[in-house]
Amino acid sequence: MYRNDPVVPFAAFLFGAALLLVAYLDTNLLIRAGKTVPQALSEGQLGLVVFGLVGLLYAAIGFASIWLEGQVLRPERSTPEVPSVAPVAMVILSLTLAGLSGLLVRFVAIGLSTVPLNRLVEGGVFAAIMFVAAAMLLVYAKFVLPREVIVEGEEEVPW
Amino acid sequence: MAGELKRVEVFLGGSPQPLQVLEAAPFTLRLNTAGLSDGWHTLRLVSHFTDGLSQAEERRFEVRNPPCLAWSGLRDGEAVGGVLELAPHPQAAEPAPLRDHGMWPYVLAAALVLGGVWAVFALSGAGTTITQQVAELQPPNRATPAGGSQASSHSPATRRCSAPGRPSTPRVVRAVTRPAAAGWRGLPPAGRKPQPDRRGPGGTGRKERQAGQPQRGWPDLQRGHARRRGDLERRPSGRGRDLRPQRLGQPLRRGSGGRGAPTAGCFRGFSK
Repeated sequence: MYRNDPVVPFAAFLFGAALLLVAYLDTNLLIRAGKTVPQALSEGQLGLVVFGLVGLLYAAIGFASIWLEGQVLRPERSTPEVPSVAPVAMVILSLTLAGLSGLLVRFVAIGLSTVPLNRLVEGGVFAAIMFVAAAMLLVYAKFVLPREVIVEGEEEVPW
Repeated sequence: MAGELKRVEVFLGGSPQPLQVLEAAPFTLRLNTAGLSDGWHTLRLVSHFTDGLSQAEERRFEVRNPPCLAWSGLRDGEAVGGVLELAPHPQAAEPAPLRDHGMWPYVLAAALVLGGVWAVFALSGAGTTITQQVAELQPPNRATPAGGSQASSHSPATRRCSAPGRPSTPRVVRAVTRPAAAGWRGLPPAGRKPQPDRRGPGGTGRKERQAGQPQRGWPDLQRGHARRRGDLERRPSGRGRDLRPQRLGQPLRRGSGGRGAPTAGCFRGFSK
């Protein structure tokens, strides 16, 4: 019996969130101290943001693994049963994805003209597209893909 | 090419006697499989032509007629005791199998629906409306009123205009700051000098002209607008000092708020 522990991804989530918070506070601190808006992120802020995002990504992978496989892993090979909510969720996610991608294309087309656009909204739409695509993959892996849990020999270290 | 078809003899299995003999057009064979036993059979068709030639073909087929009756009351392999009572039930014919069209109808339907949703947001006016309500950026002067715009307090042009020991003049700075450089386009890089705006009177943003905003502000401070409409900025104290920008290298007019020649970076946007 093997455990898919949620402690590690939760710790990674806290670590990544703390790094991003430090980067945010550092930016505000620079603005207040120097009374100037920094035109670009410094190397230190870039490092904080990157490692914070890595921590959040690791946490997301861990939580997704727990949701897909459960906290306790048993060696087995199973084909999941498709509940009725899964196709509905896939349809809704597909329509949302198509709408968001069309909206992003509209943003880009208008942004190429003289009308100023909020880049934060553009980036938010793109991030939403990525999140919806990831959610579709998760739903597909959870309810459609057959899964197999195998036990590897503990003596064999793959690296 | 052989002659015309004259006669067709139909043999079933290895029988030497033909099951049917077709001697008239259109030589259509009608075979009732209900009289055959379930299983594989062989049909041999011997065609005779007018020129004396003949041709034989064999077709194998499987007869699988559904049973007419189904008996209930005893299942196969069931352990029973006492008196059994079995009842016959007429069995319906086997339903016809569903016609399989493959994946193409589903793929086509999905492409139509998803493409339609995509087109609504990307090509129709709904996407434009959403963009205007969500993503269009307000000009910096109207976004932060009461002289608190970022361009007037933090931009590099402001810092260049602020000589040591002399307070900066936010209105002049705002007038000479290129709108694109001070607002949504982002500040210019440190080594890049602001360029004059050559778009002319018609070069303002679309939304500003439609909305009928006040004349002073972000787009209307360009050279063409200011001169055409006579909308030159004056100090709020009402003394009427002319803040019209001067040519490079010339001293400022009296009451223009500065002493001596202006800094080159301040009035580059209005130089000819």
